[in-house]
Amino acid sequence: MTNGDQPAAVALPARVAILFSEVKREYFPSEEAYLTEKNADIYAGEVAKYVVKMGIDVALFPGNEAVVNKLRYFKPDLVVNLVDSVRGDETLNASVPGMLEMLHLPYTGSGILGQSLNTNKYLTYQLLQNGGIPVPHHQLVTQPNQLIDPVLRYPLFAKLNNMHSSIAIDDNSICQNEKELRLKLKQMYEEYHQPMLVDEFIAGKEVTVPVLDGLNTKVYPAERIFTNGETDKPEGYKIVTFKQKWVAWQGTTFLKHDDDNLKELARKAFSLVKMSDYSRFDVRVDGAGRNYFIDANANPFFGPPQETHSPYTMILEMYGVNFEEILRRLFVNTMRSASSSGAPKGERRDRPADQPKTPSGANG
Amino acid sequence: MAVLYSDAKRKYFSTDEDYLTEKDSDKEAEAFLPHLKKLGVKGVALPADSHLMENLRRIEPSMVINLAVTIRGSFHLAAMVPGILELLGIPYTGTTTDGFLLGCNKFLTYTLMEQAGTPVPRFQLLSRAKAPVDKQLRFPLILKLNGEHSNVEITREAVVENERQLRRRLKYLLKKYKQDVLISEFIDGREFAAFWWQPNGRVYAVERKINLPGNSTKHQFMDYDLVWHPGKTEADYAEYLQYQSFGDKRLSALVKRAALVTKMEGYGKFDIRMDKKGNYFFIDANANCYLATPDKECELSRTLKANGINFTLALKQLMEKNYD
Repeated sequence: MTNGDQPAAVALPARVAILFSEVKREYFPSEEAYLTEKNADIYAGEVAKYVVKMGIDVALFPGNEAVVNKLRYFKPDLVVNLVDSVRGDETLNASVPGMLEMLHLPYTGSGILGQSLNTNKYLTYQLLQNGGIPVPHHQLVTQPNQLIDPVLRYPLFAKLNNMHSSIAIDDNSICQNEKELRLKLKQMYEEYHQPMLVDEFIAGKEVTVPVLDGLNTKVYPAERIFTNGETDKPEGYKIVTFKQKWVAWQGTTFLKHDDDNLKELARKAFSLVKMSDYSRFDVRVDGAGRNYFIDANANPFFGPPQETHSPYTMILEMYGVNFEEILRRLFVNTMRSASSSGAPKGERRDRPADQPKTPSGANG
Repeated sequence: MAVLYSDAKRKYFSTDEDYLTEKDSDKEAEAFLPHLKKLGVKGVALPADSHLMENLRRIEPSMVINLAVTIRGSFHLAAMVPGILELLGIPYTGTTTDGFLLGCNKFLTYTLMEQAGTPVPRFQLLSRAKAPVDKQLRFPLILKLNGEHSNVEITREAVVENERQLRRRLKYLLKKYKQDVLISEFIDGREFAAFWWQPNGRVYAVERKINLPGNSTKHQFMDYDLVWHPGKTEADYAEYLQYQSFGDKRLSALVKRAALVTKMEGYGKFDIRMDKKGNYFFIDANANCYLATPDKECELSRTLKANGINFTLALKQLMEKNYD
């Protein structure tokens, strides 16, 4: 601050590097997983066009082993980190902010802590729950035949613990009984060989909550409106399937959702799971208006809304924040943080409010 | 072979206690080199500092022994080392970035172990001095820094008998370290260190026979002084801490399961208490636990040696395991 109430002016970067996932089909365990990333270079290119319009010198690099040398040669003032996987593995994501911390390069998005947590839904739930953020009753399942906590009430919702982008989410994800649940768990385990999370399904509305950090943390909640595909399902049972998200995406639109309590919860959640700069939460709202956080996305899919149909930027545009403005805020925030703190991202002192550890699902 | 160690400078650490746990990292890494030479491997010790990547590119090691547990004094930052090695495609010993970060957060470690059926004491994470304490928790309680290892602030005052002591201690820790505090029920009884050794898939355990000097309470546990004996030598503390080999199939099974859920790779250590009824409680997990030559008071090396695995052989096994 310059005089106690006015923020100091922060110069925009002169040179920006944009990192994106290096995508090859053989890196991914399934066609679905590949599809979520396959145009990563094209989408990064779309972001670059807007950066160029800001009068900034831009270079694009895939996030692989050669990136260190390329960054040393290019010498960017700031790095836009759009890498969602390294060699197809989301759990290696945290190596990218790690490398950028080591090179002392300011970068957009979450740090190693936030990125690492982001690939474990169960741990994210625990941190949220401990911080007083409502999550559904849940259980981590490591084998498809594992005993299910009898406290959990059907319908249950089964999802992969370590993957995002609605991978493996389909019409069979909502399980009305044990038979359906076992079948879904078996299918997911055979294809992905990773732990799975079983939630009590919250019938109601699905709200997605983008967060944009800065001097003030801004929250822009929006209800997902399904205009095709899901319309034949009972009210309250519409979900974002993989197909809905990646194939028939035109069938989803957004409607502003005004809830001050939800905004406050999202700000708190943003801090609890060590996110930085921008993120998106998925929330189910039950018939009584209670919010349940069901997913947290550090560094959600990002790109100009018209060209990439990124839900994050589409929603912000609906709120009157266009893509150029988002980029400007991101850059200013990143440059300001880099100049004011030597601490790595995610190590900022953010104190969640205390709540006694209340049992939930299998953790009881 | 590159041996990476923490670049420990006093200015990086907030307290002397923190610094003491790391200050000889360079010498300890260099002590690996003669053992590597015996195996016919050319080794070099490298600090995990801002030149790490260019040094790795210059030396092009075929493998890395990763002993770095802090970067610029931060545990969290050290998690980037396995990430960088992954990115560069260099095989390395020890855990991944995810495993390392888990180890930097006791609350998450306890939560994961509990979920997987590994017994842990009842616990709660606190961020404010006046935060309500879960009524299920029973005194005595022990307070630990959620993001610290190496027994920092595990002193006689860490075990509290009542609410007044708890609040005083909590206030002190929050103010001094500005990080969350994990409180858990203190388990009176015996204490063990159990090592998971992945190269042969076995668990080696020792019981710590503890007799704290000048202890006026009934509680016996490994405090900071007993581990690091600041200003004194190991011999000065010999009468207060002795080790006895320990074996129990039930414990081994629990350790193997816990190693899996806490994402240990290669080797790791668990601190375990046993109550008076013979129940185990896991109280700490250390992926990439202290690994040093046996002359450096390293519990792991000494325990392996007592089980017929001398340090050179241990290195050979680790390298073979990770190079595969």
